[in-house]
Amino acid sequence: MPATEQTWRDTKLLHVVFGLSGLAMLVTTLWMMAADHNREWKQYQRKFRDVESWTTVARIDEQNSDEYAQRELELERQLTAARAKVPSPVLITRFITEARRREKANGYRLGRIEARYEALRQAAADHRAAADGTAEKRQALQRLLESRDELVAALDQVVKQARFDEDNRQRELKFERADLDVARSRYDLAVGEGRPPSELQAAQREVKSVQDRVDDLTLAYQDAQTHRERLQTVVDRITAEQVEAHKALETHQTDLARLQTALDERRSNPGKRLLELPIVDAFGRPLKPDQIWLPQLTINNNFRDVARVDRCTTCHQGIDKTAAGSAVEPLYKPTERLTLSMGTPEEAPSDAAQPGNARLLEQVYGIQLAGEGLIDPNDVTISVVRPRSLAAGALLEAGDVLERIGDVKILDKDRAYTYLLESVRWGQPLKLHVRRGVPHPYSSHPRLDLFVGSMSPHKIGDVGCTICHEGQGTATAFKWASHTPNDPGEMRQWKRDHGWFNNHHWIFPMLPERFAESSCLKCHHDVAELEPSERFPDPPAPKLMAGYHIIRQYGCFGCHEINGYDSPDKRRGPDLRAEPPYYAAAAQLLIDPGLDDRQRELALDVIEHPEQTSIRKLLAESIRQDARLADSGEETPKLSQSSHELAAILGADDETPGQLRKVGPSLRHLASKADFDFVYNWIRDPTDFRPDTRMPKFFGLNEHLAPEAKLDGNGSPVRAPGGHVVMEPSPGLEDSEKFDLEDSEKFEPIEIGAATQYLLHYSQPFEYVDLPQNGSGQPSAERGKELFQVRGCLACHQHKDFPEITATQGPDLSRIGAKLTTDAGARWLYSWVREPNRYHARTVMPNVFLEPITQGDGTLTDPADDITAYLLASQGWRPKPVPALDDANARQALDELAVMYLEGSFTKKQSREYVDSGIPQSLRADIKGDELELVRDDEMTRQRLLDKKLLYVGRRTISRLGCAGCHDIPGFESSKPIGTGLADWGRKETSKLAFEQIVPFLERNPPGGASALHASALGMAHGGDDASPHDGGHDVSSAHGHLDPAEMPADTGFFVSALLDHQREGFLWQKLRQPRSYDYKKTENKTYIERLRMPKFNLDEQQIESVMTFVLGLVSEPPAARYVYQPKPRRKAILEGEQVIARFNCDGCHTLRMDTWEFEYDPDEFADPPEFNDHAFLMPHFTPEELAESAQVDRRGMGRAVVTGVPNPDVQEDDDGLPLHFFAPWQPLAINGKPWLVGGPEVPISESQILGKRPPHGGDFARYLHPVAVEMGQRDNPNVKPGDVWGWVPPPLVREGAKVQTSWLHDFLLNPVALRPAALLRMPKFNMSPDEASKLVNYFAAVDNARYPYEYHPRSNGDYLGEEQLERLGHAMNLITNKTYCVKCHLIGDFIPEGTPDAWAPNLDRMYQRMRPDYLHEWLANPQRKLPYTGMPVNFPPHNDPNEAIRSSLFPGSTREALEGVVDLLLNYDAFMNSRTSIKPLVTEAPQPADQAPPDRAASAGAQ
Amino acid sequence: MHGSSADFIDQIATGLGCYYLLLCGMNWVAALWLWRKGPVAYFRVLGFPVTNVLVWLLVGAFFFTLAPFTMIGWPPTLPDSVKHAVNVASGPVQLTLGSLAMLTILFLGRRFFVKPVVAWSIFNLSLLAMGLSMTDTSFAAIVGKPDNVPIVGLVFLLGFFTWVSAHRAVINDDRLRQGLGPVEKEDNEKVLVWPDLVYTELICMIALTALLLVWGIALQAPLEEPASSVKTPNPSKAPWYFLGLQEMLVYYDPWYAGVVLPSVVLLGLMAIPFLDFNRRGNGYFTIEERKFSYIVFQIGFLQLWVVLIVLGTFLRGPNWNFFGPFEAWDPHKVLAQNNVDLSQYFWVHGLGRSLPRAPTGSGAWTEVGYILLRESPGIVGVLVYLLALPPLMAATVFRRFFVRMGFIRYMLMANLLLLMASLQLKMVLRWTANLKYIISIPEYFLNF
Repeated sequence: MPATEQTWRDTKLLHVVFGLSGLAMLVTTLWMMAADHNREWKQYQRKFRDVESWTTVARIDEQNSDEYAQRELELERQLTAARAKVPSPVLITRFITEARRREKANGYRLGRIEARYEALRQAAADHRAAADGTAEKRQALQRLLESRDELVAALDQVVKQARFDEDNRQRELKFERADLDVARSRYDLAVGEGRPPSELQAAQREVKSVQDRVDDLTLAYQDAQTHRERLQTVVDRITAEQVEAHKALETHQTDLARLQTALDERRSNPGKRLLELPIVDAFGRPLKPDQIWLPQLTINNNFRDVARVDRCTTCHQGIDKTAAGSAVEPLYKPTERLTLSMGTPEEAPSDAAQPGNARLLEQVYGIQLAGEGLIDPNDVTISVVRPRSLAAGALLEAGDVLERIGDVKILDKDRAYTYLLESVRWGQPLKLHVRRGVPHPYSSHPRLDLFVGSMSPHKIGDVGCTICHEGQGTATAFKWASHTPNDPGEMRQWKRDHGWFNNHHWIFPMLPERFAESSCLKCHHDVAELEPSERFPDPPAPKLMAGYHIIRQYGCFGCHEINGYDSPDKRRGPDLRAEPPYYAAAAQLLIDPGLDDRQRELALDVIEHPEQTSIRKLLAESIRQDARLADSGEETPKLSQSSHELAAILGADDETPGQLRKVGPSLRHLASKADFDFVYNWIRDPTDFRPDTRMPKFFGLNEHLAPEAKLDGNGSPVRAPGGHVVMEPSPGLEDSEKFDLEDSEKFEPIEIGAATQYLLHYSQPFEYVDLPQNGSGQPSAERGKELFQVRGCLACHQHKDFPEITATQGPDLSRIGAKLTTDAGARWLYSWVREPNRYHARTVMPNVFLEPITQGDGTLTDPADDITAYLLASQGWRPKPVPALDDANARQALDELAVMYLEGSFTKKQSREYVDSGIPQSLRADIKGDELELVRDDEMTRQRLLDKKLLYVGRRTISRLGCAGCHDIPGFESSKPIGTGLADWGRKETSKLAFEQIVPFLERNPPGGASALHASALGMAHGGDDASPHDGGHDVSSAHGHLDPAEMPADTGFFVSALLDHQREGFLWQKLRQPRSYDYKKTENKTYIERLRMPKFNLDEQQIESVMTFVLGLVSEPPAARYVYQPKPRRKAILEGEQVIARFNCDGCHTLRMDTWEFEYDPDEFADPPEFNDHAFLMPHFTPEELAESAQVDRRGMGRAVVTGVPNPDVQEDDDGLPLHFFAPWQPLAINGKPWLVGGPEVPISESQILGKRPPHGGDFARYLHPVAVEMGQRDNPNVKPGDVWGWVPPPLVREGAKVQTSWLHDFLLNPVALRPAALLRMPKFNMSPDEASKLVNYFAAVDNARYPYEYHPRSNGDYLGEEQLERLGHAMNLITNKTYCVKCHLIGDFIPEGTPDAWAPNLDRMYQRMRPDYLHEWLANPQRKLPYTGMPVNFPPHNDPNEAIRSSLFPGSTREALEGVVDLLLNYDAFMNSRTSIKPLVTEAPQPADQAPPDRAASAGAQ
Repeated sequence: MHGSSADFIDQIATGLGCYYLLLCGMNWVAALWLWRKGPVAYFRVLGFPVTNVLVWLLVGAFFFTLAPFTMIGWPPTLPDSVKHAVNVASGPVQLTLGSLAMLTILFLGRRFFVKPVVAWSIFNLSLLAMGLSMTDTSFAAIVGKPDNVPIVGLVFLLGFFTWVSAHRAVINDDRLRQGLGPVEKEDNEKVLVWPDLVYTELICMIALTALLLVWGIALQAPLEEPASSVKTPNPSKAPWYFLGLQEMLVYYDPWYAGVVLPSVVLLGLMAIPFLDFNRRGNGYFTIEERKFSYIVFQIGFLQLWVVLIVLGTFLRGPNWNFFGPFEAWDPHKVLAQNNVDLSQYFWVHGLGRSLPRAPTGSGAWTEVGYILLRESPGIVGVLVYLLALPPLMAATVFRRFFVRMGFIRYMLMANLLLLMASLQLKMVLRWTANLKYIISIPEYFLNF
């Protein structure tokens, strides 16, 4: 008990405190509920539901047009008419007669039917009698319909009763049948148990009686069934018309009904609203997170791979919505602003007739305005656009927000009405500024054809979102999803709107938009499939592919291997590695004098065919044997130690070798072409000689050593003799910095010189190709220029004399003469042009067959010599002076370098000593590698030591800088890539990236400021008054300590911000831009040779970003096998072929895909093509549906078509003065419901009608050469027409796969023979392996859906050629050899037609090997259908053959038979010719020695 | 933490402005309370009459003027020199010794510090220092990390409760000296379960639930990177209550710092009732009557536990290096740690000979012998510390204790005290002499 009743604390106060705390609790609880109610995704889901309802309502409104209502009325009228029909008395009688049969049994009330029929007739009579349009008439109709319904109901009642009866009988029958089964089984059992006959008889009787009952019941049932069916038939006939009309009406209403259902589902109702109330909605439905569960697409959480769960669709609800009637068109497009021009009627509409603005608006323009906007309720939004209205003509769409009309801002609907209907200058078009689309997260995916959509290869349910986009899929809030902004501006906005922050802890942040394509590499390991294809003509990943091509062309993989394999059979990503250096090892072996003949032969074979493993292994084994001799010490080995080491390369077992050739030329025989000065200058700065070279710059990259442009007294930059701006250390530099810059300037010339020395010293002898002996006059540069132009050089190379064509496969040759100034250089160039493989076994430069040609005047000229002369005359560059390598300073620098290198292997003291006097010979056995260069000789002079040091430093420089990554260099056969492997760089731990002092560096050289620095260096603005906007108004010097990405251009800002945040993107960007900048303030504590080595490539910002897109995608996270792209065989063949095409630049000359244009037309004005009259088998097949589809028009009444082929360069003018193109289709197509054929008339397309052009793929050179060839042709023969000349240039390879036989093409690719005598240039011979040739062959076949690798055709096979056929073929031979026909142009066998070669056509004697039979057949029937430009005439027209008389005299039979005969002859040419020759007479008896038995059997028997 | 500093100031401006407004309100409420409570104290400053109410009104007004400047993006900041001084003062040696010195000063000057006006002034100053420091990105990053916010609260709470106890103790001590009983004895009648106990508990429950809700909504649980065995977070920190242990691991071998010491701490805590012979000071706050216990608690809890937690939370950065509160956590900071064992000091540095090492091939016992020989200085030192020091102390400073406690209890207490002190000693030796281990027997994973 307490001492008092007094409480310790004041109770009143406690109550107050309790009240307050309770209030606080309530408030916080409500706050919690509110926070839940207002969660971001719930707001988005509510909004999106409104958006969907809005869209559905708009579509319903659109359907609800007058046209629709009229049609509905019409259908309803038809239904009423059908319902008002009085059935014919015959039917009623038939019904009643039938019913009578069972009236009693089934209890029909037939009297009622008769009565009702009477009533119906009466009602019909009344209806007829009533006057039209009166109420009476309507009432009569009503009565009529009612009586008819009653009659039908009565009839139905009878049928129902009949059905009841039928069912009863059926049931009885079923029961009885069961009894029958029982009785039968009883009998069977009794027999089995051997019951006495009496019992058996009784059982049998029982069966019989049941059987009788079943038979009776069956009869009764069938009778009832027939009865019911007859009745039913009558009723069906009475109601047939009505049912039909009803169905039509329903079908008409289906779409609308479906939309209505959808709307009802989406609209909120009281129940839903209840569930959405705050607090109630905390418990789930109807708003709830959506998620996609992907158990096979795991995410790596370090300790475990767990199923991916993507909740992105919780907010991105419209991501997979497609537009009505399309499977790939996004429904909710992202927001864009458009300016449209809408026509107005010539004069003002008469207001009086139109009640209300809305009605008038629809009448005039065909639009309706929605009550509320789609996103913002106040937006003035168009909800309906009527087809063929003015609005439809202006391309307005439902959902467009009218922002401005002319210059007036539209804030509400009233204003819109005013400016659309009142203050309009009638007849003048209105300018409408509209906003189209919806903002994120409501918009749909922009590429539903590729992603997310149900027709796409990446369906959302299969792949989810984060496998491509990355980010945190489980998050349901913007900031936790790890969205990544694309630039600092976006970042700022996100921070403001969504509280975005950079979540360092989520290691898979979303890819910013600019790198969205990177992820493709996770599954697309072969990359090539990401090129545009037939199925996806819009490039799926253009930036990624650009990066891929740059990496391949610039040879990044030479230093940075991208190994796509975890193990030989486990792929992890794209694979870009240099091929094994077998050929280099073999070439190095060749200089060993100890090589025996067999080894030499093997080595030569390996050089030529490095892909043949067996030869390579043989060679390796033979070297190893020699090496074993050396080890055993019994005999002296024949080969040198270094040759023995090559065996390891040659004998390597590599299951998945790299596939890529080194991108640089071979330097193995460098001395045979270039001199010291050139090589020195080239290494020092390759862009100096060739501004667009792919060779990177290794030297002079001193921006991190803070140089500034050296200024003369007037403040303008001092220039070196070569035009270079001279750089000098900034005035405020620390001493150490100056020292570092001095180091660069001191050592770089030595390194360059030493490397040059090494390359030239170890250059191996080269056998030049000799000029032809038989005195081909003087070379002519003039002739050479023309040959250079037409013989295909320009398909790969550029030259300043021909600025119209800029191929980039090979180097720019504009200054090549300045490179090859020596006599040796000239000889080398001749050899190279003639036979590139001789110099470099792995070059992709083909042999273009520059054989001597006989000129018109009989002189013999050598085109190679001419081209050489021309190229040697291409000057325009002078080497800069090369600093001396043997003066005192240079020697000292050389010594210092040598010591630095030697210290890696020896002590400081030894290093000094060896530099002074070379490495003692006694140590030779113990040292390996580069140091061997320094081993003392017997006769060691000062000069000799200097040379040795140069070679040593040169060798070390070459290996330090990784020159062998791109070039084949003697002595570097076994060198490995020197850079970081990139196979998983996209996931590289950022803590492992050496950002070093990059921030201070950038503060000192801001990316914008760098351009200012550059500008000042170039003698441009240097004062700061007019600083470019890119540097944010900061002077370079004042930019120190300030680096704000928000003030930079968007792209730069993004990367700088990434760099500041220590992200991979930033690191890579800066590494590619200024590779050495990471050495800023680090060089002080490094030796010169420890400095960074990455060279600077000649890439612009866009290219850098492309390369980054690729590298960032290398994450080495292959998903489950079913997700990795596995092409089907045909697709695979295409992809592999495309790789080969890219490697050899086949598309430089040949067109592989024609131009494709999409255009629209007015169906009323579009002229139809003429009727074609051709062989049936040539006619294209269009189904009626296809033709109907081609005649469809859009809401503006315009038709659309896509045409593929060649636009005629001859452009005319249409009525409006716009260019009018004529387009020759190369694929049959249907336009406006009519077929257009290949080789028929050209399609006229006005410039204004073109909607889109897809350029051709490949064939730049052919198109370039065509006008040149026309000019050349007309010089000799004024009658030459441009069309004829297409046959002289490299042909398009469209349909090549369907045209030629695979085996022929394969052989042709490996060893091309001259085909077309008229051609200006021959197919060159590429340095291609049989495997590559097969891939090309398969490619062509796969593209054209032709059979490969084999095709059987009965026409050219087996016993097709019988005796009786021979006669027919003989007649065909008459045709061929008649000058009206083939031999007019074609060569055949040894026959050559008259005239000049440019009119000759290919030899026919090998057609059976070359052409596919079906193609040949169609070709002969009508060549233009296959090749529109061909000059070959139609020799066998289906009708009206002008040469009928001649032909029938040569070939008895119809034209068609003649065609077949010629085809057969060409296909069986060899067999036919064989039948005409006999071998027998050629066989002579061998003189038989008298004293010997026949040699065969006896000899072999004796041997055994 | 990158991004421009302007952005950072933008982010914190509003919050910090509100913080100053809060401080202003706090002081004005205090002034109101003083005024209402009365009597108002008058004193003269430079000849002007001033009241305590006016002082706090002015302090409030000072904070009030800071608020708008802060909100428009011009917050007052600490000068770099001060920041630098604080960074230096936060070095491990300075911090440990400084906190020890601070505790001593607080203890000796407790009569001054327990005055409410002094405490309130210190509280105001510390809050102002906090506000000024928040403008520093590094400081804000460490203090503002959702995980660390409670630790900041903990520091203030701890300060408050220490002050409350000292305040009450000083009052009691005065009363005891005057012969009055402690305040707690004045009013020791029993109280009602309802409402005095249960009602207050209920109120606390509700208020705390509300607080937790607010906390849950306002400070979201931080998401960190997925655990990875190949890449551990840098720094890898234990939960805050284990940071003291983690700090000990820096100076001692895991078996000792992670197993022996915590066990000794637990056992020592359990032993307190048995060791404590002082019957006075039960049930009320006092310092005078329990000086020894008070000092041991202050050092053992505040110095050896709380300071280590604060240090581990705020001052240990990447690579477990020390970072001042105004120093950016740069993982590239490298500190030389050439620590040397005592045996090395003794044999190599002292005697100028190599460490004794058993000849190769000798037996296990020979090896043990050599190891013991090698480590003999450390072993002797430790034995002297643990065995010779207690009798020495018993004979000198702890004579009275020894008499009252008897041998066993005294030895137990002395050893517990010495072990407690050993932690500090080892820390100081590490920082001053780079001493790695006193006894180092890596052959048997036995280091001390």
